[in-house]
Amino acid sequence: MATLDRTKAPDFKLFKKFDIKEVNSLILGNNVTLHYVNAGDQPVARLELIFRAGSWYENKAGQAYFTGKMLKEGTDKSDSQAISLFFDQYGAFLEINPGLDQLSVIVYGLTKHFPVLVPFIRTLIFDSAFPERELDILKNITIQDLKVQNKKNNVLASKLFRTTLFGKNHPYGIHLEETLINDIQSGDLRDFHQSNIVGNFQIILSGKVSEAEIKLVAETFGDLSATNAIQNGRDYRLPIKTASQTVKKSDSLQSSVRLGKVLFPKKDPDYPKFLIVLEILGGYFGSRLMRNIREEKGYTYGIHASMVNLIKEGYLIIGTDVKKSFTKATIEEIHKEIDILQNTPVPADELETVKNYMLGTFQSSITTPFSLAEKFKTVHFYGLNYQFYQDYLASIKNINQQDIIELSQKYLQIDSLAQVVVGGS
Amino acid sequence: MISYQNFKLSNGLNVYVIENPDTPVAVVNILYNVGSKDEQEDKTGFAHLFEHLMFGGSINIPNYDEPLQKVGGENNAFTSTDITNYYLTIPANNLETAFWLESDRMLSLSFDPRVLEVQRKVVIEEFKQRYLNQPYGDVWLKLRPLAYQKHPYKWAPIGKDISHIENATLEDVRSFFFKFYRPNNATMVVAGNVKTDEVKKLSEKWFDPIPAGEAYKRDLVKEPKQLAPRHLNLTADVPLNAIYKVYHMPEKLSSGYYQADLVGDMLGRGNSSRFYRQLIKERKLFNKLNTYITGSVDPGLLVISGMLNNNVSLETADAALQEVIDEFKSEAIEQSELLKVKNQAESTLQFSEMELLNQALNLAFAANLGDAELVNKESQKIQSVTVEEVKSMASKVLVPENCSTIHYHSQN
Repeated sequence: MATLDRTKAPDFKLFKKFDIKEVNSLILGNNVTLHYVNAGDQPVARLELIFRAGSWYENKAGQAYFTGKMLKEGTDKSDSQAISLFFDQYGAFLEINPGLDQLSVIVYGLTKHFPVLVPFIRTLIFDSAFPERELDILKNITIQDLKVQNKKNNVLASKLFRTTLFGKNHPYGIHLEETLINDIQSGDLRDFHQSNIVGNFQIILSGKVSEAEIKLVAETFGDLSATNAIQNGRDYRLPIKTASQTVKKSDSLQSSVRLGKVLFPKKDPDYPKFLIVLEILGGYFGSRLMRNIREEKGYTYGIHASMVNLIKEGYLIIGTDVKKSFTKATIEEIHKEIDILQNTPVPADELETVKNYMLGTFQSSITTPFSLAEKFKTVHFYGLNYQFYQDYLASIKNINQQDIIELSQKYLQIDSLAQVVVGGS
Repeated sequence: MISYQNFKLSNGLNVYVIENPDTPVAVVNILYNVGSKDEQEDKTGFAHLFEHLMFGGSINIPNYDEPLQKVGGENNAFTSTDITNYYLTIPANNLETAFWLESDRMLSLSFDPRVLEVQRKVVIEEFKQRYLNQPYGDVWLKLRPLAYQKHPYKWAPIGKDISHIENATLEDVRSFFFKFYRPNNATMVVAGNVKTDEVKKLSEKWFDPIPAGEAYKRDLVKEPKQLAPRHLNLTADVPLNAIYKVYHMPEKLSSGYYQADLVGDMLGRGNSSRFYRQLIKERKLFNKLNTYITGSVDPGLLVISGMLNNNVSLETADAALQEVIDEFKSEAIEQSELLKVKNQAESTLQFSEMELLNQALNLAFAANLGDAELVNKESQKIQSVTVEEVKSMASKVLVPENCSTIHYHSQN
């Protein structure tokens, strides 16, 4: 038998094509759209309702957050206790995610329980009662939790960073604060519920679902009067000057560092290609920032560069928690790595690795029914469709060294980056 | 229900295969039967530091990550008190690359001193990021030695003290590797779009030539029964007072394990639980309360942790927890309450098995415990728990002399 040569890597193949199972979409009688995808072996399903009810649409800060969270705190027929008991007894999980752009309400459960879960979700959302007592408790819990969160350098840095980018008058730049929370009244929630939740939503059903579940969801939500009117479609201006902020914390062992800028929403034609530039810079374990600042210097446990995609805007964030005495050195190294990207072609071998890695992780990101639903959401609500993924995969295959230099020069000018440090140096 | 095939190589490597033709990917999970409980008390944090070193190059391959990324794969690892686990996802047609990489680092590491120097620093930053630079981050560093006086669960996987990581030598690394990272001390699960025959062929080609090591006989000191309540006060610059109560509970392989788990769920899982209803909603003493178990192989802990509302004293909060516990122990428990927590546990299991990686990990974990079939018995074990068993477990576990308490005072 020939000796095994362990120094030589086995041959490998790359994938030729990707099959993304797409959602089907049904327009219900009231013009509400139901998107569904049947996939998976486990007898479980997920029903998600998405409302144009993020903080973007608020008249008063906190309206969106509290309206969303209060949906599980009481309806005309069930009180808070009855609601939580209902989900818990079926082993179902209710998730309410109030975001900057949208409010998402999700129930996860065994498919066999959907005949009782689905109508219940309807009453939660449309017959909400916003009881004062529960609102007071929730406000207090939120304030206490905020105190704990704000004690974390990484949380504080990310919040400050977003405010730095968007300014305090932009809905993307505002964060909940104690005074804002105290100011919220149940009337504010009723108003917001009326304007942005009732009759203004889309549905996504995923998991092991048959005709019966699809019909059930269609019938349950298809007879509500839906308006689909867009509320508060405003325009906001971004701050013009790039800012830099440092919050000193003498007792901190590490600094949380954030660098970045507002770039573009996902629709931008440069977006898919720019993702590859970011991957090389700080998107994966073998990225330049990770290799330099963690694997060569040991300054940090991790450093990452990524895009945060909001519906109206998208921003770049480079973030790390580093040993305090290396704060300045780390920022210099980040600048240095950007400079190299802007001026030196990426070695062919590295580019090949990044491309294959991105193709491989894309493939493994479409293997569960819920991830298929996510893949739909992250294009559909951003004004895109499944063609985006074909463009993305084509960008990965076709991008060349010159493209990377040009994109880095266009979008990563060092003096255009905002910077936030919480900790010190 | 997970169906699998199993074979063993001549060097003792135990291999399991889950065939799933519906996915384009393959998953390889290698579990080494070594956790922080196998460390010496003066060299803690070593199993975890070692996990980092496993990515620093092996005897024939200078870099682990790069060749894997080149074929579209991704990977990670974790260290617990009981095991060290490495896992990767790869396009199924490139499976052999995973075998090449994993077998070489099981054969031998490069033992490059520079790798040790850098990873030592990285781990120290991880220590700070997770345990020291977070409000309440150090609580488990204090809880473990309070609850465990003898058993090595008394230190956390990150280690007892940063100095242990600072002082690790290359000689320590080498001897640790050849003691624990041997094929006969590992379990491999290959799952996804793979065939058992193919996995067998690849295993024989890449793993069979690795020599077996001396069998590792685990002989850990047993934790003596706790006889009196233990209490510790901590004060730090944290925004709220917090309370932590931990109770010793049965080991993973006993029937009592699931009973204790369900006791914890009835007290504190979800917003319909007793704690949430009575102490957050009705009496408004806490703003957050969690109940969970550490889930360890040897006898673990049932944990209650809570954040207090402003102006609530730790004594009041502690007494209120005790009242709910006493009521739970003394009153009749309805079947419906037990059914509720069983349903929660059952659906958690179903959701977790949606991920191929979780299937592979759960199977490896069960096999490492000595019976792979346990992976398919968990649901049945949960369902078979009775109200009487829950009651008797509660009265055994939830007693003050079995409890260690930390009152975490806000200095503000």
